[in-house]
Amino acid sequence: MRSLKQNRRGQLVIIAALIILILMFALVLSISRINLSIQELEYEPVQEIVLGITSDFDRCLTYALSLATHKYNATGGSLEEASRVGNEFVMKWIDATLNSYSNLGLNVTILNPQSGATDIAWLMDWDSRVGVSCVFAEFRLDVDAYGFKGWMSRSLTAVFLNIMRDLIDINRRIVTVEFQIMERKSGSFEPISNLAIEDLRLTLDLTLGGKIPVNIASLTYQGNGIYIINGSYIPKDNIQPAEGVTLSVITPDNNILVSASTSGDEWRNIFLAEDGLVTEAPYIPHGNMFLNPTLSHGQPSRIAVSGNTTRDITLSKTINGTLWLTSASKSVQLNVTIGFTYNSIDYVIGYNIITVTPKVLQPYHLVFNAAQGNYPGDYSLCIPKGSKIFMDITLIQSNPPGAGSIFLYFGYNQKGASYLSSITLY
Amino acid sequence: MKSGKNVIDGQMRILEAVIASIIIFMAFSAAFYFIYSTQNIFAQEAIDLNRLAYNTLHQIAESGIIEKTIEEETGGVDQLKIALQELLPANIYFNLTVNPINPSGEPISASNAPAEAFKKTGEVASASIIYTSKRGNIYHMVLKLTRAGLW
Repeated sequence: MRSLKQNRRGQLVIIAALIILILMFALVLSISRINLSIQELEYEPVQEIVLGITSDFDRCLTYALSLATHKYNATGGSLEEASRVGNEFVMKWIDATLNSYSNLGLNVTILNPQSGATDIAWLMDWDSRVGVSCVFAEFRLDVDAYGFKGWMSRSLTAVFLNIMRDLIDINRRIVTVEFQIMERKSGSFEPISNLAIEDLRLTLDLTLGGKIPVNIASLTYQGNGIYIINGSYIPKDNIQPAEGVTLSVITPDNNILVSASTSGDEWRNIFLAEDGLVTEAPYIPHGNMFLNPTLSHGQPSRIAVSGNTTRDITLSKTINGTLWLTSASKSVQLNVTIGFTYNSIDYVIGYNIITVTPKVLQPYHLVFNAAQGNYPGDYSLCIPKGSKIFMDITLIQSNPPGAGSIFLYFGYNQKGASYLSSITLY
Repeated sequence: MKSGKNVIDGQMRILEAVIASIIIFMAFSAAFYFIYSTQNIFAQEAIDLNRLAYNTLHQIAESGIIEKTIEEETGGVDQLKIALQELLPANIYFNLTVNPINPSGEPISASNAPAEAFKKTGEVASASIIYTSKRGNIYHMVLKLTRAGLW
């Protein structure tokens, strides 16, 4: 009996251990449950939400550009009307986004990067050989629920149409046009490769006004966004010489309309691009600072060079140009020289010396006497095919001396005023 | 003799103490196992499901599935469901609700889940995205995911 009592005493220790075990399990379950809750709370899908909204803003701008370009076409070229329609859709999208994420305390701001105003920059330039339809905006986003503030991205959607060659055979009433169409998406240019004849509209522009529609018989894709179209037309009773052609294209994926014409005034603008290249492309997106890095005492000369010219370019005797410039803090005197490199030899067409006024953005008009320029032996007033055009901007002096920057402005402001820095070669 | 009994009793106490220690040690081991493995896996699964949900929504947005199914075809909900089944692993239940941002638009839902699937399980991931179609329709899409076999 006594032995049994003593044995029970020992079993109590084991029972106590089992109770400890149960308590331990209960404690562990509680702790792990709390851990789980904490981990679930810590997951904040900020990145996914921000990227989702940003990528949809690109789609929103693409559709808004589609609306705007069709309005621009319908109104005969009213950029104001086109902008209004496009802006309305963007505002609708902002409302929809704010409502959809109302639980997150979303704050969306759209800025015109040039003016700084809450606005979107639109451009439709269809009157030259290279047509462009473009929209550009800065997009700022805060997500208050996650304490995420200050996200900023730039969205640019653009379609470029370049009529590279047009041949009008009046006797056979045949028109052949070679063109290239590119779209800018996600920071890079991509060729549009899936055009169909239904997406195109080609007209023959008559010298005394009026247009004759061209029936497009064939469309051949050459690669890299380049197409050749062949068509025929029925002439009007009163025979007039054709001045050129106008080609309109609706992009099949996004329904964006763009047009280009060879019958308008022929301008060959050379531009300074973001990477310092001079290009014959007609348009660089809105903004400033396209002379990059900016001119300073640290880098007293900037040379921008084009790609190889694709044909001989006959020049005017007098070449005019405009640079919209401002200096950050002081008066800066510059030498602007244009010329070209042919067979590894530099030829100077002309130069201008200008003094840039500090803090005032204004156009500086350049006049180059091309007749006095240097040219290769067999050429006069001509940039031969295969040359590289260059523009050299060199600092002469600044007052007061020291580091400083000048800014070259470009594009249009929200009211359509032009800051189009350009040089007209002929 | 009495002294010998006491010795045996003492040894029994020691033996019982050892057994109790082993039980407590096992309890600790099991506790750590539960804390650092199983429940963490469950927590991670919920996060993974959320990421999967966002990835799936982005794939839907980038591929233009909404235009091809809802906007262009009649009976597009079935097509949308098939597309989702192709995008997601086989053991995932989904429920995608597409809400047009338009007062007259009716929400559209595509799901492969049994009726109670999202109510009975605690491991449900939910992600949403706003989507502008090429026709200019704006949708708010909500995708819910859970793993089959959790309930």
